[in-house]
Amino acid sequence: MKMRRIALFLPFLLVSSSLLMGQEEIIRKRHNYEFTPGENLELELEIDAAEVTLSPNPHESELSVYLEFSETAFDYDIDFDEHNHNISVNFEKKHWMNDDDGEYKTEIEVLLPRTVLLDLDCRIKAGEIDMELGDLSLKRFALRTWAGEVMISFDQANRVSMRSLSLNTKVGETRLKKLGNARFRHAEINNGIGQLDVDFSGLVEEATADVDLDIGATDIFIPEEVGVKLSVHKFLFLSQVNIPHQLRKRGSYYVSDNYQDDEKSVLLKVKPGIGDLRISYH
Amino acid sequence: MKALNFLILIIVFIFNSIPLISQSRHYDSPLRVKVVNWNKVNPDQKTKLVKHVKDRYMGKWERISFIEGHQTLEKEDALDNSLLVNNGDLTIAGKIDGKAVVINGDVHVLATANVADNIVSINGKIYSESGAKISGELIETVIRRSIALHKRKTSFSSKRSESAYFAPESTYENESIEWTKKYNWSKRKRSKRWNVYSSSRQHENLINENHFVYRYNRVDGLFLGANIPPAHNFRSQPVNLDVNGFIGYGFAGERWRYRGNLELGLYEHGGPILGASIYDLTDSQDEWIIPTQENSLAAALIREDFQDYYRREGFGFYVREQMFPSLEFNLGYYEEDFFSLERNTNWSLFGGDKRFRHNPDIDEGLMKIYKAKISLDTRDDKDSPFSGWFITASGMWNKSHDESAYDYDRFILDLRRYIPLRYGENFDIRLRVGTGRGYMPRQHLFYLGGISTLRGFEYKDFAGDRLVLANIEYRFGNHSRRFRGDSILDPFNFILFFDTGRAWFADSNDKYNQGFKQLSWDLMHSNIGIALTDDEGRVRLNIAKSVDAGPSDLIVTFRINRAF
Repeated sequence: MKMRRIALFLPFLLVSSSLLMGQEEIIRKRHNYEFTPGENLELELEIDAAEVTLSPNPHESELSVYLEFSETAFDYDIDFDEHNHNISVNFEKKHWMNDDDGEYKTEIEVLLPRTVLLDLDCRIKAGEIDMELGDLSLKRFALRTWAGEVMISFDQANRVSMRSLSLNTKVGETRLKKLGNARFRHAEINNGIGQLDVDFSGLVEEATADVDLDIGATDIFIPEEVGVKLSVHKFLFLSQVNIPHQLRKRGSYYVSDNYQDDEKSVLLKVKPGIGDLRISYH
Repeated sequence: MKALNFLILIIVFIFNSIPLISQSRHYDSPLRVKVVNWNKVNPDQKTKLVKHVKDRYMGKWERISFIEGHQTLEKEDALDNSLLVNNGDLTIAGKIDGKAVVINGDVHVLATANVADNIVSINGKIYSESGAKISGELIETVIRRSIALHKRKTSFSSKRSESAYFAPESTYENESIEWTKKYNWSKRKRSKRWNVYSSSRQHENLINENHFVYRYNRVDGLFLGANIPPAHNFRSQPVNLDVNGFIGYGFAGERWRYRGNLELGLYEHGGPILGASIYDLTDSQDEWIIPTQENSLAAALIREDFQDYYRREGFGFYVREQMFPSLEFNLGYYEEDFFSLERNTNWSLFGGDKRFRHNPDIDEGLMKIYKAKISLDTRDDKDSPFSGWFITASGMWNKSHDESAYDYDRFILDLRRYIPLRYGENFDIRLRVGTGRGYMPRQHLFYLGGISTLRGFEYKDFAGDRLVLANIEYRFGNHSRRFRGDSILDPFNFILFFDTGRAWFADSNDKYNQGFKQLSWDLMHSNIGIALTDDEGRVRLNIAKSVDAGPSDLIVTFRINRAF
């Protein structure tokens, strides 16, 4: 009798599982947009949850957005407003409460045009973020994330001077590599909870930067050819600050010897919050 | 027991083989679609766009079949190479052993389809049914008209083939939920795109850009209405028709106000728009001094209404063209009646015993006016620019006729330049010159003084049929390296400003260039000032003082928009 029940249950299981498998459809879709070099483009990415990769496009004047996701879990919308040179990508999770992503990885890959003057605004709620933004023409860059690891690097110099750079990450490790290559004039870096590494390598123009961390360790690297004027706003006794010996205290600032006469310099304001602040200058 | 197990095995086999059966399709019947081998395609059909797409999305040595126009690949059809379709939708129910690329058309992939490589739609959409077998990627590409035309410039294609670059509208757009529920261009976003508003709209004063119209002033009181903005972004046909406008009611004035526009757009973006308009408006010439939304706030909160109003009722015809994203041209003819309006309310949330200003009378009557305007706008931001030019030249011509004694012209040149000096520091300048010919009615005179004009003087202190105005602002603040680290200045942004100008009546106004000899530095009214402001330079507390001879008071104003 028991064997019979098992035997009857088995085909039911096979049939129902095959039906369930059939329902989950994976969408793999790419959207390309061709531009003329020197054109302006405002790109807005609003993503609920995904592994997000951004990198330069081998096709210099083309924007490419690739999405791979389960139909049951996500929905997306790309709006191209040609008149205002604006593209907004909305990638939404359908149900936050039901974790029905399945076994599939949710991926978004954005290949950015190099020759188009970009105003890039990213708001990503959760997910790993890996951005290689070197050799682009970024006029402005803003990133806001709520949870997840963030890795941003500028392996090559930005082709234009960046008017502002704003990074706001709530929870998770944030690593910023060769940020000087971004050629920003002003940067605001704000990390809520988690390790924050900021590498200012590549700086060639004068710039200002505000670095603010609430809880966690902050590592800042500044190459010694860059002049530095640094102010540190400690959070009571809970911030442990490690200032390199090359920076001398002048009033409320720490200043490097080459700061005054060096155009290649950074004025840095750091608020370490609760945690260690280590500044490397070599 | 063995028999039972054998039966179960058969059932399991049958169930698991169902998908196999359904997928084992027969594609061996001859192809009913007439395709042409790429090498044998007529050279006229190989336009720059077609070649560009072929090079970009198909391999150099790939075997390609070419089709022109709408096509359907039936369930039984099988194609053993890649397919390139130009200017038409493609429906795939059969098999393609390669890529499917469609230019200016949509791709509909049915459940029975089997495509061995990428599916590409240029300037169209891809709709895929559940169950379709696609081994490659689904790629939707936008190659815009400007780029397509740019590429075409070097080709020999005729005027007729130009229309080939306009994507034909999909017949499936609204046909079924099955198609539209997919992931592109959802309806949800459409409303946002409808909100996109051309800065060139004529007579847009007092109407905001949303579907809901609201404002508050002393002649209409609370004004509520509904607005249908123009659908500029849906122009995809050689001829596009659009109806837009608004209707609303002023509760204190107890009047309905409306405007209806019928617009005929030729070609896509950049093509001219021909329009006809009928309207009955509460209008003002003071939008350049203070935007309606800020004025509404001031009126509703502190009983200060800076705009002066009149009623304008009539109709007109116009043509508008945006030649480049930054350059725009408008030309129109209007027949309209002007009427004075009275102050009808004195309510505001605060303001104590203060009363609204009297709304000045105008010169009433019928006018038949030609209007023209050209504007160049290279600013990096419309509301808070840091760099760029904004130049507007406008004119109106009014000849006397049987029904109207008005015979005058009016011209205004407004030139603005925003110059970033270094990070956190800006130098902004505006020059505005106004002149005219003939006797100008009161509603079209030039007024100076107060907010946005001569900030060290009382509001509309000066009037005339000639005007010169220069505003200079130097903005600096906490992002400026020059002042960073200074403990006093660090938290603030400042603006130092200088205004100088004059409005006067020309001794002789037979010609528009007369009267400027009356102008001299001694007669100019000037003021200096300082403002405390936010990072964008919009929210600001201005303190200004006249530097003219004689005693003068400090004029303090609070604004939430820039003066220019």
